[in-house]
Amino acid sequence: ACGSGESKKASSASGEGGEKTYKFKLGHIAPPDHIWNEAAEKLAEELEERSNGRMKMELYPGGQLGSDSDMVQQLEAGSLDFAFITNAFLTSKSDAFSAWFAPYLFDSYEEALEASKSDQAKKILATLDDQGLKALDYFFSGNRTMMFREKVETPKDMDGLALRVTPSPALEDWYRSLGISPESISLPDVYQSAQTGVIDGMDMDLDAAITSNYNEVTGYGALTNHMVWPSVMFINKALYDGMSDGDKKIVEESMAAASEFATMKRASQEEEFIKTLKERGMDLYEIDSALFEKYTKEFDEKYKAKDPLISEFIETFRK
Amino acid sequence: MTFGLISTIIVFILLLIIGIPISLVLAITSLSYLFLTDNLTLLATVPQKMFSGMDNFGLLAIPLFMLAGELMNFGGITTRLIQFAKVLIGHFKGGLAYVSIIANMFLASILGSANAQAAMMSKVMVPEMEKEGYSREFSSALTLASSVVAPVIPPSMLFIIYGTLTGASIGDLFIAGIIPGILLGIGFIIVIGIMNVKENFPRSERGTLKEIFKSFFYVLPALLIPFIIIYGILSGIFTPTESAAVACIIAVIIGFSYKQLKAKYLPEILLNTVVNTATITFLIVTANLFGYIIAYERIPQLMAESMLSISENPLVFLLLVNILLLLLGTVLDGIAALIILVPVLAPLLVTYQINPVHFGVIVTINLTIGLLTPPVGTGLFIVSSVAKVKIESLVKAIMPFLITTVIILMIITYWESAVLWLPGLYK
Amino acid sequence: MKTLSNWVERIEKNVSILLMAAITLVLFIAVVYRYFLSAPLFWANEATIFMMTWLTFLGGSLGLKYKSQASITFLVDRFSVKGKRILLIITHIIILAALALLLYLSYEWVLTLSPQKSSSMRIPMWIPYLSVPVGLTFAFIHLLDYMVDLIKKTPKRSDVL
Ligand code: NA
Ligand code: NA
Repeated sequence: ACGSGESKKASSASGEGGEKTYKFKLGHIAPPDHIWNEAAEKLAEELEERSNGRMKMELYPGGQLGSDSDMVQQLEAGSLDFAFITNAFLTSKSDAFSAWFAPYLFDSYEEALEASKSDQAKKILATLDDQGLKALDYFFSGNRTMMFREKVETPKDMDGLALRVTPSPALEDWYRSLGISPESISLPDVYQSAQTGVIDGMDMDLDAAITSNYNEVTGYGALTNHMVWPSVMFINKALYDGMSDGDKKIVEESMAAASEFATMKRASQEEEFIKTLKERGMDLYEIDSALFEKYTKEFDEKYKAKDPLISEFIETFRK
Repeated sequence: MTFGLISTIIVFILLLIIGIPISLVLAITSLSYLFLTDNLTLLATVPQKMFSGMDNFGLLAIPLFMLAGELMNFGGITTRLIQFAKVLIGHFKGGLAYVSIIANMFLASILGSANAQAAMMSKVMVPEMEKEGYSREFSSALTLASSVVAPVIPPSMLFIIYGTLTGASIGDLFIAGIIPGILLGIGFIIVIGIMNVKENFPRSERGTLKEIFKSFFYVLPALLIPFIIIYGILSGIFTPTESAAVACIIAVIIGFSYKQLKAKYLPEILLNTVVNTATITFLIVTANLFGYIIAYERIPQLMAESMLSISENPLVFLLLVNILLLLLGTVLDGIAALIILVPVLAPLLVTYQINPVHFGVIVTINLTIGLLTPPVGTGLFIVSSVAKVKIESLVKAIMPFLITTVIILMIITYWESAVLWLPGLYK
Repeated sequence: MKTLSNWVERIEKNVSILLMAAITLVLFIAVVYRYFLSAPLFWANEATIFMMTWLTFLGGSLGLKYKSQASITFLVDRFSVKGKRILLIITHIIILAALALLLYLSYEWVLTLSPQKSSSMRIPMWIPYLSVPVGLTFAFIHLLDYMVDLIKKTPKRSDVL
């Protein structure tokens, strides 16, 4: 038997006694051993437990169902039930998501998690409602750091460098203001590009640096933690709208639990990741965030003018 | 096996043997699967999946290296290069066949993808070998088989993606590929040597010293191309994909300076490139759709799981993995297969205590063999369309090389140090 | 039908020649700008990928017209000219039916897109997406034209694969 027979049609079917049973599919782009997949596993576990086994979930990690763009289309078309999508991609669907990339807005994972429960954060999610998408929650993995081939200690040293940056206008604008040319090299090419010097470094998180061995090609890491890296939890809108209020609550609570679990677990790994990279011979150091103040102001001004939601978000959380 | 799956396999085979282009077979099979299994909600996802098959910067290397090959041909560059190699070693019996293997290994140190290399070399070598008196089938098969070294000898797209998926060191993978790459080259040279005894391979006249100097002088500007590509990549002036564009521009300049390339030829050259490229990329598009359906139904995982439940012995495991990958390689191509399978297989490495770098080399060679095996083998399609050889004849002619590659794969699988010795050295 | 197919072919040829030349030049210029002028073209990668998708779907349609797409022909080769014609009519009915479905799906896809901008250039995504329905429409026209020929008269031997 193929095991897929049950999941053929819609993802739900009426069970005994009027209570629905579900078999969901969740997709995301991170590899199976990544914190994202742990978040997905936690979500599956919570759903099953809170629903007394009525809600089961199959996971499709590693981009098996396609890119962020593919999965968003599948959510709209109804062929996918759940997905984790990067905030960076979502800035191409709705400008408001750029608010999260305001530099140095949060001091810790806890603060970002706290902010994600705020009304301001929920309003950003709601901007996708009229696009047939239901974004319900956030979680945080891998604050951004800067990795370089040569040691860079002040923003001044950055002038004229080429850095690989995840394609998203907010990130690109931030680096341009520092005099850096943001390069949109695709992930599989990043290692070799850094090795040969096509790029002088990258905007990256520690986790990815460890799994992709970027320490081999960029020996210097500035632990700037200048931006948080939110992932957004989606559910198929038609599926959600068709759920009973009780089931909706189960989904929301499970997501909140998975979000907290993944974010806090990632926070607790920070020291260990730094240790691993240091053991591999990477020179990790800090750059005083005060040196970036001028550039942060510039970013705030530019992005507050773009969208009232961004303005409200930054004003609420900038201390 | 469900009814839907079995009938889909029958549809696939039927469409294939009544001569429908393979790209369309993949698309039609995918659509039929959705109908036969009542999965109609997935229909709306089909166009997006077709589009995203092309949404990959690395794929640009295919048209660009094809164009570079086409320009070098029209510009008289490749004939001069091969002329030079021929004057040097062509007087051995079967000399040009050896030249082809050596040239492929050289090119492999520049290119990262077997498809790009097969496209370029079949454009260049096959007409040249045919002129010398080799059969077109043999020449294409040799060229295609030798392109297997491209992703094994660094740089390599497959190693980079494998490293990203598993966390294995990409630097180690690159170095680990060198010995297996050379072994493959030696294997092919031995095959030619054995065939040389039975077949009547041509030989050319021994070149005089004067001829050697003369052809060296002629070829010098052309030799600039690989030099600039290697230098440019190693010194970080451009990425391997960009290097293909640079190669095209240099090929145009040298072609004009040889006075063999003329502006009026350019539209024809570009059109040839487009049609040859699109036959491959259009296939990638429909293969992406096909791969999505396979992934959605978890078919590779189910196959992997059932095979892996058979034994706990790592040697048996590796044998099973090889068989699984060779079988899947017949219907799935390189990067798609890698993306689907590695996440399934990688967690098992810890259980079986297998080194991830060693495993990466095994997987890469396996998946590259998949490019040469019907019914879905982009390497086959590329060479058959560029060299105008029937796929069936190509498959027949490639057999000796395919068997050699599988033998070397087995050697590498069970002789771990052939892979891990070199990366261990520089630690 | 014939004129329409030939007219489409002319468009496909000219546009794809321009795209191929543009891809090469843009990537070359991108290298020059980044390395020699230290002013990278942030849009170069994305622009060339989008051109490549157009090239794939236009060129793929041309490839169907020129019958240059790879296929397995060992069985077909054994048929007589008459048998081949019948087989070709059957395969073309299958292909045209599948293309009609794909066309319907891809037009619906492009027409119901939710707003999305590309990540580097911030252009609307329907610009690259449109390559799918347009390429498939052109392929449909070429194959329908060939089908009409098949029914009207026995194709020349050289036309049969
Ligand atoms: Na290579
Ligand atoms: Na194959």
